[in-house]
Amino acid sequence: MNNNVLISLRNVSVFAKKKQLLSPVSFDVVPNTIHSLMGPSGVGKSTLLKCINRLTDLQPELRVEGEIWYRNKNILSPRTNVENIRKKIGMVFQAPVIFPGSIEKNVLFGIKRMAPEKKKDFPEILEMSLREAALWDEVKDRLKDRAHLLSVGQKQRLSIARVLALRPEIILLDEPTSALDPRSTELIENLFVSLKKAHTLILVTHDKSQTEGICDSCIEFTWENGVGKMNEIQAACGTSCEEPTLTLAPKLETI
Amino acid sequence: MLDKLLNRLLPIVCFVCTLLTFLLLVGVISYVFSRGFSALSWEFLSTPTKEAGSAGGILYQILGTLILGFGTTIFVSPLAYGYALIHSFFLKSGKRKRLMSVFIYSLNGFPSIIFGIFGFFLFVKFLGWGKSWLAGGILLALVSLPTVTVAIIERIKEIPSLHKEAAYAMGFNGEKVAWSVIIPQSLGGYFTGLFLGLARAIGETAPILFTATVFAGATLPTGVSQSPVLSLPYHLFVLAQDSYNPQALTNGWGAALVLIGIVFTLSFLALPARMIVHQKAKNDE
Repeated sequence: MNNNVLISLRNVSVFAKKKQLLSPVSFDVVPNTIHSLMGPSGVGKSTLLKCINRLTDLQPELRVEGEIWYRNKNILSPRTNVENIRKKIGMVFQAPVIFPGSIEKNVLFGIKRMAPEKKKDFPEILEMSLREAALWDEVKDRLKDRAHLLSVGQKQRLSIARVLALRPEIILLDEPTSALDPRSTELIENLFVSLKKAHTLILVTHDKSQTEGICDSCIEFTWENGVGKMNEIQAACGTSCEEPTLTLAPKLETI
Repeated sequence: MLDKLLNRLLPIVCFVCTLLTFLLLVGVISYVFSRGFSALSWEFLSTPTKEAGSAGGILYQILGTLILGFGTTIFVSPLAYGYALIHSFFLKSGKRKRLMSVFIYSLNGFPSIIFGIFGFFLFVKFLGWGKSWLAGGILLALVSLPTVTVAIIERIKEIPSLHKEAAYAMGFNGEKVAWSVIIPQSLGGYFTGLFLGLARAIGETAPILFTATVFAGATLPTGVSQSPVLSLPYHLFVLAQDSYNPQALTNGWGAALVLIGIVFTLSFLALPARMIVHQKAKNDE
């Protein structure tokens, strides 16, 4: 596998019982880029995204074939430690996910349980994650307030902060702006561009302008005989595309 | 023609039935009130029984009932949560889950005297505990188990699946999801169920009749075996049956009134727990 590839999908296809949902898909994702998966709703983009962190395991009726290579491991192999993979590959959903409790509790929700030994670093992690999610200035004086009181846009950035607190290498984004107003969308799009310095983002969207605006590469999906199919790779479709760096994010521990 | 008549009759029949239910409840409560109110006093609540119920108060009956309620809570809580988590979280779907539903609903319809007989042979005879408050707590836990379990199950169903997915997506295993998402978000259901379950359990006589309670001679339990308690329902049962003394009967009605008071308090406690659940559900939208 090419050194400059962080994650590589090889003939990944998805079946629901015997019915095929997605024809084999192959593509590579380069580190420190935003890679978009585009296409009409229902075509299987989100399902493909959930194959990458094996969240498809939660739906026993789904069967995934093929290989997804990440750091010399096949994610789809039954021997892979799913929990470790998910620590490295965070996910942001279409609707903000807010757990009952304070803003602080929400940011630390994952790290508190996945890395309780880092307890003394929590205040620092809290601030850093909220800063990275461009939310710190808005909430720094009310970290103990209930998170439900935030606006939808803020809630989505809070969901992103919670994922960032776990220091993932890759972040999967499942139509993260589709529930938001244009202003919040713009804010979050800018946020994604700043996040790619330290992370690699895979974004599912059906908004072409979003793809053109912020993504470095994109894959389009279409229907063919009722089965989702990958169309073509359009490299460097964004204006913000920079020469991808060769090194992987160095601060991450190996799996 | 007949259809029309039936349509007209339906609201009237419904109204009459509602009224009857209401009158029955009010009737029972006001009758107990009228018979037992004269027995109530601070002294009645705070002194032990004397002269086989015709004098003194019901202090140890109240304490005994609360001890049984405490024992019930200790046993029903892990049983109900364990059952609900297996049913609604750990089992994905299918036959076993349906079987568990059938079982818990059947348990709800179980005659409580059967628990009493079963407990008598298990705890009193086989384990040699004699009469014990602990046996009573365990048996009453079985009586209230379906109420508490179903309340938790219903609440777990309302937890947004996205919350579970998001937790798994952070690398949580099933146990971590249960501790961080499922249990905290179903606590409202647990408390509602617990208070309603306790309200039913502490009014039961049959399960504790041969296993946990006596009419006289017990104060506070000191251990497990040979440690019966007095209790309000059994006190009432004996006084109502045996007494020819009008004062003892009045005291019996007084005990009934106190029992109803405790049961109503528990039912009202269940209300705020339910309100909090609704509030949370609203916030999640």
